[in-house]
Amino acid sequence: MRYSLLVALLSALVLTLFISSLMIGRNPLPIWQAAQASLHDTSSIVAIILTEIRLPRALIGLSVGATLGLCGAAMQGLLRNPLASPDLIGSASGAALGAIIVLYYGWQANFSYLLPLASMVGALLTTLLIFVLTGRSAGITTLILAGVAINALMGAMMSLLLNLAPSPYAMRELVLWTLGDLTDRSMDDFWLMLPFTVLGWLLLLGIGHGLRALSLGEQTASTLGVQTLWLRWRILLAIAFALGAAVATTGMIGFVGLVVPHLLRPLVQYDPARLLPVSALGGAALVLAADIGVRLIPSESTLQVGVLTALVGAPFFLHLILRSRYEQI
Amino acid sequence: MVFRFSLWLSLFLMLFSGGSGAENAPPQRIVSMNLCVDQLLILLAEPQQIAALTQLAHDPDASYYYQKALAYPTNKGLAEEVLPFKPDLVIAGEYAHVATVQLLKKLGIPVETLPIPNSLNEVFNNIRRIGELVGQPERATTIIQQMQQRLAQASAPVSNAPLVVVYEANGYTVGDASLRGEILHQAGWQNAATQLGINSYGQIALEDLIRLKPLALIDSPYRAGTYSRAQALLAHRALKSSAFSPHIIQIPSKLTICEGPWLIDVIEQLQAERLKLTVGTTP
Repeated sequence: MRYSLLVALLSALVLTLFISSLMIGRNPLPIWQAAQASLHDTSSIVAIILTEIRLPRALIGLSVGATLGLCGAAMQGLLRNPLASPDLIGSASGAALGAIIVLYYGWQANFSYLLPLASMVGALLTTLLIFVLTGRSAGITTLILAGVAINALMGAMMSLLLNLAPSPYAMRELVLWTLGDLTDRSMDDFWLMLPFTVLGWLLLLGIGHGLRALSLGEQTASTLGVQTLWLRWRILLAIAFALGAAVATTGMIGFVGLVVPHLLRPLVQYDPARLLPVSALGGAALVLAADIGVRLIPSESTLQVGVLTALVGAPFFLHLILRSRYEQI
Repeated sequence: MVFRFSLWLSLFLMLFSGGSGAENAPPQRIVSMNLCVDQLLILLAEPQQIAALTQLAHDPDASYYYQKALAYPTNKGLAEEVLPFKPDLVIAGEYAHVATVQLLKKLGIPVETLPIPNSLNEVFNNIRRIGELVGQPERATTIIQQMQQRLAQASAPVSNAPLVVVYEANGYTVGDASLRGEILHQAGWQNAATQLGINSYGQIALEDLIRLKPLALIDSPYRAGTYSRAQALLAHRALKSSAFSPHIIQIPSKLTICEGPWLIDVIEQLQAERLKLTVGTTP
């Protein structure tokens, strides 16, 4: 009962933020009027602003946020580690590197699906590397250190490749990839990311039982009939698909995958299965809210959405580290 | 004693004649540290006066006189690269590295800086200035007069000027208090960016651009065909929707990066585009 109430509340929050995201922008948009205009007559200015600029922004914010929350919850469940999240361990920076290689060196011109595919491969390879490096039951320190190293390496590669890219504007866009940006994305971008995102989400459907069993330990899970190897691969692929598509579209929006599952875990009585859907909703709400925030802050040039999520997330991360230290003592 | 006196005398004479001679004789080893100075040097100086141009002068997208520039060596604007050319005059841009300019001056090399023009009058001033520096003032005057004559023929008052906006990578645009802003007016267009309060340079958000609904966008892509989010903005779906598909006027970037007589070509092209687009709509 309490769980369904939580889901309902979060859904209402996401819906409110989604509609606010459509309304807030350079100028307030009469959204009802614009929606009617877009149904009857596509040639009005308000209709174009609604359907071609604000709607893709809100839809991408919603799906990317849900992906980040979901992947964070799945990874924390799989590794039984509260500090695991795709951005901290380097999956997201691998995805960003893949996207940069394809975009800035002109390889996506002939085949647009190459962009999410390359991003997916980048996420898959970095995540695999982390899994191999840290082993099955990695301690918090090992995982974070491996993540730091991978993130530093990927960051250096991104910087190098953007520096060597043929476009004179490429280097300045490093900030878009490392902090995430939703400005002026179009419906084309949304349609490109959608199939990969949905595929990733579908792969995570029904892993709740496995995660619950896994929380009792790997051997117990095996005796309960959970194929842990298959579960591991399934989550790995799901993260690669959904996160790859998300990062290819918006860049790396940090800390959402870490913070959201953490905040919601007590509310679902530490149940890793129930945590998945609420983390998706929570992630969507956080990214939509941060994206509204960057539009409301008066700044000369556009502010990146990752700035706000990091401002919230980084202190939270420090708090988690401190708490884990006290628990060890 | 006699020897000493003659030494002093010869030194004095050398200084005197050297001083007055240098003022009249045009420099023979000029090094440019700015792309736009490169163009004006090729336009005005004798070829043997130019010792080196900038590296960008060899970039066909940036340099109007790209073909002619290939005949000269280049530098990247570092003091240690400039010195081996033994320049008797270095001309830099307004925003050249202060440290480099200071170092060159300290080493006794005359350094002049050329301002960035914000109007056609300032373009004429720059042409006149380079003409004087290289010892070709008459050549500069002739070029300025030719430009002014063509300008007088090209620009005629337009009753209801259509809206246009310069829209470049990242949505950067110009206002009326800029050279390209004046060029738009001379070609009979009205600059839509001023409606957003943009005076000299600024950025236009995509939503604002759509609300302005200009008849045409002017794009002057530098290194067209390469990818960046900044450049991809011009291919956004919102600009292609049926209600708003502004005509996109392409001007090669080598015509818009630096000032020179080719600016009159730009004005003529923009005017021709305006006449083509408004034919039948205005009497």
